Amino acid sequence: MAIYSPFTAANKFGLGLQPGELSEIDKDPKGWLLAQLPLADRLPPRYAELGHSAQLIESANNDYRQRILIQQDGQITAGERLLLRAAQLRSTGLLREQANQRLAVAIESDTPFSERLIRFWSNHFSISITTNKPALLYAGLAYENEAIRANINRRFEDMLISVASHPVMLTYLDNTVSIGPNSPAGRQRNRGLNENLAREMLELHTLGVDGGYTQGDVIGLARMLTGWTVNLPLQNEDLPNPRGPVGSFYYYSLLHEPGNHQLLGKTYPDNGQQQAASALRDMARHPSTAMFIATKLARHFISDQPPAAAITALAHAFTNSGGDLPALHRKLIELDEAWDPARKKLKTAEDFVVSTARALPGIPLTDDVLAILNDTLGSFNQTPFAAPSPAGWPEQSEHWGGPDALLKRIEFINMVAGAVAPDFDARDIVALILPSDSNLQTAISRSESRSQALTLLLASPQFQWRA
Amino acid sequence: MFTKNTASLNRRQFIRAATMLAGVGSIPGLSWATSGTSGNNRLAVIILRGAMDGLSAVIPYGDPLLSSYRSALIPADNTLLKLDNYFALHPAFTGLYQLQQVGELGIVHAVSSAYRERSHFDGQNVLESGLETAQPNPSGWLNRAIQFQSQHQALALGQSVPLILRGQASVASWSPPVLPAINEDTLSRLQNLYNGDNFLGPRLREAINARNIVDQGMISGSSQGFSALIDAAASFLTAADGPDIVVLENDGWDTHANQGGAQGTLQRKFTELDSSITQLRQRLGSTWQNTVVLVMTEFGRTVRVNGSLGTDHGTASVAFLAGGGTRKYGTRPAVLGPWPGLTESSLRDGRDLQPTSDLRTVIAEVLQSHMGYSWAFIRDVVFPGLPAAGFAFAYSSKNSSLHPAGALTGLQRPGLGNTT
Repeated sequence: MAIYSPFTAANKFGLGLQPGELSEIDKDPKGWLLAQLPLADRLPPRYAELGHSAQLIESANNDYRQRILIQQDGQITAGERLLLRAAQLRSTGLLREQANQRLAVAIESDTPFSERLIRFWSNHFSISITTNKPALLYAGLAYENEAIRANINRRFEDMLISVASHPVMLTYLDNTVSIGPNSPAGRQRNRGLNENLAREMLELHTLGVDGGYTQGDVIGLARMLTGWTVNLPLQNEDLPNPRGPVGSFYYYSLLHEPGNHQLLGKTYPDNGQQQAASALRDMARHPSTAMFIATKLARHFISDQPPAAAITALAHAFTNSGGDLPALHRKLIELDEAWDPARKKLKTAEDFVVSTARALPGIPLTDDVLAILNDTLGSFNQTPFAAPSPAGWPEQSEHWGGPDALLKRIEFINMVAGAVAPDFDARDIVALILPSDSNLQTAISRSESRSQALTLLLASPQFQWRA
Repeated sequence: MFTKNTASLNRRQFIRAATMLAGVGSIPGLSWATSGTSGNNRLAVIILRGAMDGLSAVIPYGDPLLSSYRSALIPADNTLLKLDNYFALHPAFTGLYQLQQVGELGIVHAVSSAYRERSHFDGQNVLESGLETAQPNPSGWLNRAIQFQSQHQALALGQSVPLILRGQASVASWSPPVLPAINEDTLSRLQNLYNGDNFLGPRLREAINARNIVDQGMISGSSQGFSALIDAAASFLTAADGPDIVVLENDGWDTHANQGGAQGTLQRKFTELDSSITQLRQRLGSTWQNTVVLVMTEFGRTVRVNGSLGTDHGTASVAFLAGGGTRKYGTRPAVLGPWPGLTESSLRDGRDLQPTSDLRTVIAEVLQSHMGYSWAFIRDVVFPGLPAAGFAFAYSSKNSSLHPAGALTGLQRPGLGNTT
């Protein structure tokens, strides 16, 4: 029988305790988590002004084409320079705004468990701005809201198809340039398949690398996915779908590889857009997918090496519910292993920065403060939406807890403590954010100054873990 | 491998961080409301956090009992910077000694705030609030001092505005565009915590070893950072429209273990403090003549050395007054304040140096004679409840008979002090 600690609920399931929250959570830690699930698909008010991905992608595409056009003739006029500068500012401004708002949402969240779930799934279906693709720079956060958040209370296959058909993912993993060799466009232009999206959907999003698929399956899925693209002007300035919204998903049949295609031993008849959708639904329901998802979820919420029983329980919940995500998330809350204080996770850089800010309520989240925290994340090598690969940010403690990273965290806290110590008394805060620990409490009470006390608290090993 | 650039956070970002997080504006090209400035006197307050061992700073070497309490902490007699036949400065204080020789140093021994317990938090709270007891969110005495006095402007040199300057009056802070150094003591306390963590403990040790090899300066103490603050303080104090009051904080005085004597942790802190004041004198130029530097700490340390060659929290310590501005007090004994003695029965609780002077009375004297405050304002606003009697400089010799140096009349000003 597990002990349902409010610290575990808030620090391991959630994003870190705010000092004022403890007594409320303590009434019913499990219930506090469960109550957040129905609210998970709410759009945080901070995101209301960000705009829809279609508009953002259209804007990104316009700026990109303008730059190409200006740079083509080799000389840039003063007027053109202004245009380029404006576009550059738009891009960096949007990027900063997305990063700031996303950080603020985490710091302020009153549903931090559901917010962590959003971030888990967003990382599962990771994009990365390191590719420098304009659509990602402009619409990364819109992607997270439209493909992940909007589907967090639906089935896994709904989220999967939403991701696979989202213009940001289609752009990121090159499906927009994948053309069926025997499609009308392919025959005309001698262009061909790009397997990137198909491979990552099998390897990273569903079955997993050992999930039992072959190179033939990758090609089969890639063929079915041809035509899944974004409605943006072609070389000749025509839109694939003149009547549809610019920048949104469009199934462009001229690109689609005709014929029946194979995936995992099953033949999918050539019924256009539905061909890949059917394949994706089957991938979502594959037993390997249940195990792969269960393992990732357990690794994120329990420990780097989660117990097999917990993985099996999650996989059953996934399969038995038809991939219903709320059922899966509820199962996670029910797992004794997740509440075991001996099983813990080292905070990622983002976890660390967010939980630090949550532990110090009252610091005004101005653009400047948020920019500093995001710069700090950059120093910690976790710039938002800049995961090193489509596999997303790593989970392992070894990745986040290297010697250099630890010193950086201490430097950061030393700086924060120096700046805010007059406003925060670590002796009061410690018991409100971490389980009782006499070593830590003694060290804090013996500190020579408020600043040192706050440094010891937030740079302590206890605060580095989600437990 | 570690290099300064890759292993450290982006330093430039942190000047912004320091000010933004503290909720105060940075102040490039700042301007000060200086209307009605009455004088050009300057006050610099240096808060030593962690409780300086006054008996090591100003050593009562003439007391035969001293070595029985703490022989391990006393530098060799022939290295002491003797002030008279009873007191000596620690050998690290070469700069202060020079000041003393030219009449620009005042030393008050056995001094303390009103605080009588042994918590750093509460001790600093009382030191900075100037009240009788620790309060949850008091205002600082220096803030109250400038609150209704538009001719005075104060600035905190550091990442944030410390309690002493918090309150109704708006006070800014300034810190240099470098990442604040982690002080050696903090890092060693953190290491103790990390030793209990099987995963993180070894990694932190590895990181510290690597950085020690590559970049001594990063964690060898806060000297580098403090020196930059001293430079800044001098610039601000000499600026035509600058503040006339600055506050600096210096950490790392909590010497529970391996405090050292002639060499060691405390000696390094003394050296840092001494060179900082020398640096301030040099940078201030002629302004030094109008300046008083007040150096104070929250309480003192035990008279006896403890089991780990350090000292624990005590009561009375030492306060320094440095600067050309102290010349106005005229000829005076090297060490001020009644000396309580070190006999067992004269120690407080059998362990601490007994306080004989209230630090507030010392400050009040400086505020009056140097900064032009009236006694009534000090009594009513700055240090409410402070009795009129008992200015440190006002003790007559009969109150300090234990001190061989005798009379403490040197700092008296006409019309002040003869109130006992």
